[in-house]
Amino acid sequence: MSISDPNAQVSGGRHTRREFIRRSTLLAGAGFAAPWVLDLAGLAGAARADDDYRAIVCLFMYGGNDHYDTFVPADAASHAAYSAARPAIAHSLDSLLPISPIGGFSGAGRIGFAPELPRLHGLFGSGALGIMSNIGTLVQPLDKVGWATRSKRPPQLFSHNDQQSFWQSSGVEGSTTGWGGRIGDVVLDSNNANSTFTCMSVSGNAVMLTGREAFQYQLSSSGVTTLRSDTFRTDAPLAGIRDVMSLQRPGVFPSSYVDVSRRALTLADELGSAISTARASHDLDAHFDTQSTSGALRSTAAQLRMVAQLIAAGRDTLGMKRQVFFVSMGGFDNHSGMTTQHRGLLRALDSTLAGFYDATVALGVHRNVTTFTASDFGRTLNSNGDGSDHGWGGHHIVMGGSVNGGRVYGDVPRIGDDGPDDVGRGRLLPTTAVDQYASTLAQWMGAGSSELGAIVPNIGRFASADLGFLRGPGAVDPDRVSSIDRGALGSLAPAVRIGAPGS
Amino acid sequence: MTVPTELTRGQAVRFLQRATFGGSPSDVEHLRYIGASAWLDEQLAMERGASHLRRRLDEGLNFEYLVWGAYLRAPDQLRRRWAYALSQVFVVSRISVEDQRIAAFADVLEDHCFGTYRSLLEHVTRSSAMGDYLTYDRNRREDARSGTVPDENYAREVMQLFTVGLWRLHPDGTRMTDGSGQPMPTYDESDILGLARVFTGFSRVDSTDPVVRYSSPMDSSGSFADRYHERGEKRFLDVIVPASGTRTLDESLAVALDTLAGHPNTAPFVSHQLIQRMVTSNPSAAYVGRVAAVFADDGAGVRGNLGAVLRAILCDPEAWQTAPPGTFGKLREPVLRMTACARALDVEATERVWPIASLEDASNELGQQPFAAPSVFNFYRPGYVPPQSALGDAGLVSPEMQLANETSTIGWVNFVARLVRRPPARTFNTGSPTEFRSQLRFDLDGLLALVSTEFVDAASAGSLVDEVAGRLCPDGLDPEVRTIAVSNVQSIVSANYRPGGTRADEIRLRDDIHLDRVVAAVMMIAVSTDFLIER
Repeated sequence: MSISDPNAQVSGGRHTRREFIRRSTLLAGAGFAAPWVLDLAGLAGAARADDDYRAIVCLFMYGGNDHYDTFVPADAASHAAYSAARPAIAHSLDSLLPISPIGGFSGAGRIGFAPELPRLHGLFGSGALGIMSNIGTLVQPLDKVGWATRSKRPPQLFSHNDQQSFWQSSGVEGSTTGWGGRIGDVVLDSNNANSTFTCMSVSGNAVMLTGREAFQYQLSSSGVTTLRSDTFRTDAPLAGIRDVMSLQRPGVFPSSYVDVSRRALTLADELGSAISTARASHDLDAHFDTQSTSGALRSTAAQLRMVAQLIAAGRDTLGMKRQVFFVSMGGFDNHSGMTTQHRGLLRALDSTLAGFYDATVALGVHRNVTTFTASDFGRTLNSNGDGSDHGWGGHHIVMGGSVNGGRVYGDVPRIGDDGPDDVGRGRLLPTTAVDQYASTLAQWMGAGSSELGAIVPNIGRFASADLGFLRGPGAVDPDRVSSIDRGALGSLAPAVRIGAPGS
Repeated sequence: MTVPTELTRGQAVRFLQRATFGGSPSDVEHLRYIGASAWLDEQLAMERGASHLRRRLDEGLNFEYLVWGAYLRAPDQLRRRWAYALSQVFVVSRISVEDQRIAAFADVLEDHCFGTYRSLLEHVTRSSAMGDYLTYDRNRREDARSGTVPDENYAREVMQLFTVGLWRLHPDGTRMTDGSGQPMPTYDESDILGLARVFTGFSRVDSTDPVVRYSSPMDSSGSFADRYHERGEKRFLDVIVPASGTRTLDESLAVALDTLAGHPNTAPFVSHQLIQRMVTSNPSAAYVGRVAAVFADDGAGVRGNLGAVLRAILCDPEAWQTAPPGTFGKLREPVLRMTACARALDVEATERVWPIASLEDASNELGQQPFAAPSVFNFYRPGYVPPQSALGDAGLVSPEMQLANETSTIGWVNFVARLVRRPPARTFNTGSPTEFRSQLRFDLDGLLALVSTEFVDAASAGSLVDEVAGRLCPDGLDPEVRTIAVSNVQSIVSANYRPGGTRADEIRLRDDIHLDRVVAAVMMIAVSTDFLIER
């Protein structure tokens, strides 16, 4: 969207759909019910009105998670090559938590869980968690031959800020919408008048959550920030302060800022009260180690506890049907200190993700909530001593009661340095695109196939827009039922192979 | 010099909000008396204040206390402000670097911020804080036997963030394009691999003397460097450091830093960011070009003269337009909001130590603390485009908007309320014989005198509002905001107000009501876009 006259909205000369929705939420938040608000709800909301609640939760690992240290080569040959490439920081083979995925492994060799991930390993075993192997940013399917052509590569590989942006938005830094937000655009109308709470970040500003129309609502892990009422002896000045904060002024800088502060004031009370109700109804504290001595654990646990409370508030009080959440953990840029720093982060990951899953079970929404990880990039195989450098593809986690878990999706890459699956130093050439990951999640959230292009523009270039790791909240995992039935006979389903570059 | 010779009060306030952490009423008077040019000369010649590390070690106080004291009260404001801007280019963060090293790094920036860019880059590169933060302290050369290769971290970020940037630039900062209109990368992965080989062999100095331990540049010539500096060939950015069995780290480093500081991209890339920190988010290509030209040559043949670059940024005609377009200006960053408000109200601390620690919580504080950015990418990015905003629709960037959200916009109000209504106080050395308490104080007497009656008429309320606005808003206050502010100040009354009462509670109530009026006026102006947006 581009408006040539920056003051168009201010003067009221131009009514965008965005502004329409903004106004409707402002009015709804203020307790008015204008007829056209109801019209808007009736207009497009009906299509999905009878659907269940669904939410996706992105845990972004800022800095670039070392996937080699997370899901570790577990067959003898791969493990030997991995150990030789990073002798000072390798997990020993016998320390790994082994897995036997449904459908077995495809690609080269096997992987196992790092020993710091016992609870996630347990969730894999119980079918609530799947591993996405070698996923990364791509603009088109790419092999080593295609790699030689620079224009086929995603821009600014290996650069933190650009790859964070590309993971979240399919564009380098400066992008203004992300695929979480664009999923929000598609499901916005399901949420009726509370569409402003569709995309919520508990981790500051992330381009992932901004849509063309969907806002990114940001709040802290302790909840909604409201105006302090204890400043003055009388209430009078607070009204004046609110008035000034809401006063729209001409000019692109003032109006951009006031848009945010006015929205904050309008929505804080409604959301704050819904969160209080959720806290009173559900005691979720036991699932989150917010008192940990690990800062990363404390912070992410508090963020995910907030998300669990927002899910309860959204479903029970605010009438939400579809929500997209964003949380993060920092500190993954482990150029050094891998065995201390990164292993601590893995323990934090294990505790927070598993705790969050347990909280969704306690809320009865584990089939309605899908959690997935993302990161700037994977890392190099060979070490710089006691750490690793920026890479590209990496392994990720999908978790929830609707995940077809206990599987490894995508080929396990060959261990190498400028081998067939890497572009040097073991930087993995992704075999599954972030766009495919996103479009699978989008479809689970209710996006139709015709809407995927608006969410992930390059999806048409890839072989599959549905990686198959999700099913409807009411469905059961047929392979899993059958594999349990037939497990003793060893008659497993064929290997799951997805996401290979289209020919 | 395009700054007016005779500065109005508003122009003086504006100049000090750019060149310092904000002007106190007496600073504004002083500047108007001597003029901007003499003021700059005076500040450039001013002796540097006490070393942060010295105070950190002598007084045992965390750097976060020291930095606020320096920013709020140090006389060498220009140096502090400029070094703070540079700290948002050369980013290290307390999040992963120990406090003493951060204090030493702040000293490095303040010591060298008026020298050349080449010299500053070298001091930064050799600092143990940066070596620690970007993990090249004790970085080793390639070892085929163990399979380890040099850490690429610093090589990548020094190019992407501190010197040449990602894209090849014209001298005015606009991007060059190739034959098909595509931007052209400045470097590729092979340059990073090559440059990473330069930054091998550094090791921090260990010593029982803490000043030596924290402030010494990393060792580049001792036994560690001898053993671990890469002797093989290094290629980057079209230069080659040939392989040599006697190649020293100092030799390799000199070539690398000369190349980076001398690269044609560095002048416009760095100038653009520094203009954004000091004056406006979207400088014209001409403005960037003029500053970059001074960066390239200060007129005396010196490249990267940072004092001259600073003067060029502050005195550029674009910074002094009488009626700047709506695209000009920037959102005031939280740290500078706080310092501008506090200094305009003549802030003082009752002791040498300032009772303000970290203010990084966004819901009750600033959501921003100097030298505590979340990553080497700073608090915000130079190219940040606020989504779904009039700014974005107009194709403009606004780095500081990256910090504006539902939490921080309200958090700022709550912070100002607390700061002025109940100024922070803190007890230090609790339980020891040297225990003392320090409290923040504002000189509000002049403002209180305007509204110290049972009722205030519109004229008195207006004089309070105008005086606060005069100190904080260079262009004064929007009439609509002024109307709201005046009527709200007038609305602060109490039925229990006893003009002649002498009981303690009666006096306290009167003082509270008077103070509430001043605080309300400050808050309404501090949350108005007349203050929040710098123009």
